[in-house]
Amino acid sequence: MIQYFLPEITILAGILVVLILEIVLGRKGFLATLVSLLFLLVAGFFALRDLSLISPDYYKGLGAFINEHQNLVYIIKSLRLGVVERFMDTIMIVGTIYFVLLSYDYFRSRASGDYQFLTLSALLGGMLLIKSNNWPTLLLSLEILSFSLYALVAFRKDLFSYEAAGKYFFLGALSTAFLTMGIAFLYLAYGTIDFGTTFQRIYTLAQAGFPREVIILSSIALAFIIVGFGFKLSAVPFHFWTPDVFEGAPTPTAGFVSTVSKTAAIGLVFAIFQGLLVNYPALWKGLILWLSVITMLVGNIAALRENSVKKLLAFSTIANAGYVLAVVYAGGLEAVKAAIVFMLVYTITTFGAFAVLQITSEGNTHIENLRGLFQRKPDLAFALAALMVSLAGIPPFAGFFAKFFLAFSMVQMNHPLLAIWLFFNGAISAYYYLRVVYYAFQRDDSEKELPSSRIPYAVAVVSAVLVLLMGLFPDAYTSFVDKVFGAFFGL
Amino acid sequence: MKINPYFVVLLMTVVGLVIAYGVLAISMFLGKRNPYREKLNPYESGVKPGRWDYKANIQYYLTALAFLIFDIEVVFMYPWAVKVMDLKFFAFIEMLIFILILLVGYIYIWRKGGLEWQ
Repeated sequence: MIQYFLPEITILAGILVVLILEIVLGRKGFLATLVSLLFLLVAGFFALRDLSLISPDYYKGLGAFINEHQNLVYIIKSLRLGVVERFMDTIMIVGTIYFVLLSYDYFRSRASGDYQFLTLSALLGGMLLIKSNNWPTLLLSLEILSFSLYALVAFRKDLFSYEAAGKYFFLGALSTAFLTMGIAFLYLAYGTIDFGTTFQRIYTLAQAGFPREVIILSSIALAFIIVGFGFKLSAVPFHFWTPDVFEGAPTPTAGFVSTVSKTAAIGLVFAIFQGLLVNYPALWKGLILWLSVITMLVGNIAALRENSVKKLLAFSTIANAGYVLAVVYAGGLEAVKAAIVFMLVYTITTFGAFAVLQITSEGNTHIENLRGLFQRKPDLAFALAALMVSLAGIPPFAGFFAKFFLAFSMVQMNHPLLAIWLFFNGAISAYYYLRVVYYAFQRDDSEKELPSSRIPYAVAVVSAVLVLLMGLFPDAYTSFVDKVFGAFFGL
Repeated sequence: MKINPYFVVLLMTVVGLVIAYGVLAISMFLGKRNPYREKLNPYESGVKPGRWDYKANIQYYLTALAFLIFDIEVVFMYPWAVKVMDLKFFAFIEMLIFILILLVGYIYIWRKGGLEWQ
């Protein structure tokens, strides 16, 4: 049975090894970084191997194991395995590799085993979160993810960092409280904590008609759950923490919050709404639609007048969460594929942008600070331009195709207006993304020196090249996604 | 004779009360008495009650946090202990892994000086 959970087990082993190294050898930042990178690569390899081996029969062995060991059913059934979850895992592992590379440069001598321990714990929390198959597992893995993140945000150990971590912690705790309350109401309505059983009951009730009290209880539950998820996703009107936390957090951690943690949240929202509650669309469809429409608009409008690049990327995160929420509303198999491609492209692009930010804006994230980037480091300026243009969704970069797939899946599910709204918002966002590029190509006469940091430099350039290549040859990865989905569902 | 199943609970309560109060009573009758001010102070988990502006040592919270983790570890062991015979070897290995993970955490706290009272 172990062979189905190899990526998770690898990460868990990585956590233990990093901690044991820290215990035995003391603080060895370079070694810890190397070890955690190794474990991440192995976990990524296992996740990809899982995906390439997948077939309709792939999980039969797991099913047979569950049938043989009925007494263990509650232990095994707390996690759900599937192709969507594995794709999300892969994206999160890619994001974490970026994060480990960038934070090694960011912390330099202060890098330590504890930091890698927190990183890998956050990743494991995210990986378990999207696979959780009952409410306690969901809450537990959500807390593993969140608590590691609170500590990572505070890790720079100065006042700004503590302030950001404090805000993040209080709002995160509040949102978890809301979520728990919602879960309690759902339990009251359906009498079970297990997703499979809840799904069955909703299915049966959907055929026969929902009784009045179930409707009332579910509605209250959903109000609470949406608040809880909204905080995690930084959907408008629950987005206020995002710019503040990004501003105070170490730059790589801000990247982690906006990519890996968002990927986990998106996977979770897909699992809950398009999985668990899919037979009860009257309950959540309208809410998710308005949430996504408003999140796109407010995220983009707020970014227009933002002068801090880090906060600008925070608002861009909010807007992008809105785009993906729209396909959660639209639904369908194409939507899931589009979301996977979008999150992959978004992770690469955003972390590339954060890498540039890490070089140019140490301590000062004002957009004026980008002036003269082209003069001093022309290749970095071009990389930034490619990444920003990709985020704005302009061809031939990967960001365009990612957005195009999202819109395509919406049109396929008969929501053309939503697709138009998405491209309208993309047009708004082009202004502030290109404004960053504009400043990067301005002349600057001051005698400023950019720090020579090789790792973020390489990361930024590699990301820019990747974004360009992924835009020129979108078939290379979309055909893989198509193939795996086809193999899994036996199409 | 048919015994009410809850008779056992009653019996256990009674025996528990007898032992607890019995020991107290024995020491009350047989022990020496030497009351002085510090000894008569009410005392609860390291904090003197009765003063609202009492500042607790930060070390106290660190210890409390470490205590909490291992306290919860035991909570997880209760349901496991009830079911371990049904779950067989699998559950045994699972619990070993669980304890191993916590053990690493424990050694980490120890090595980082979390248990020292500076």
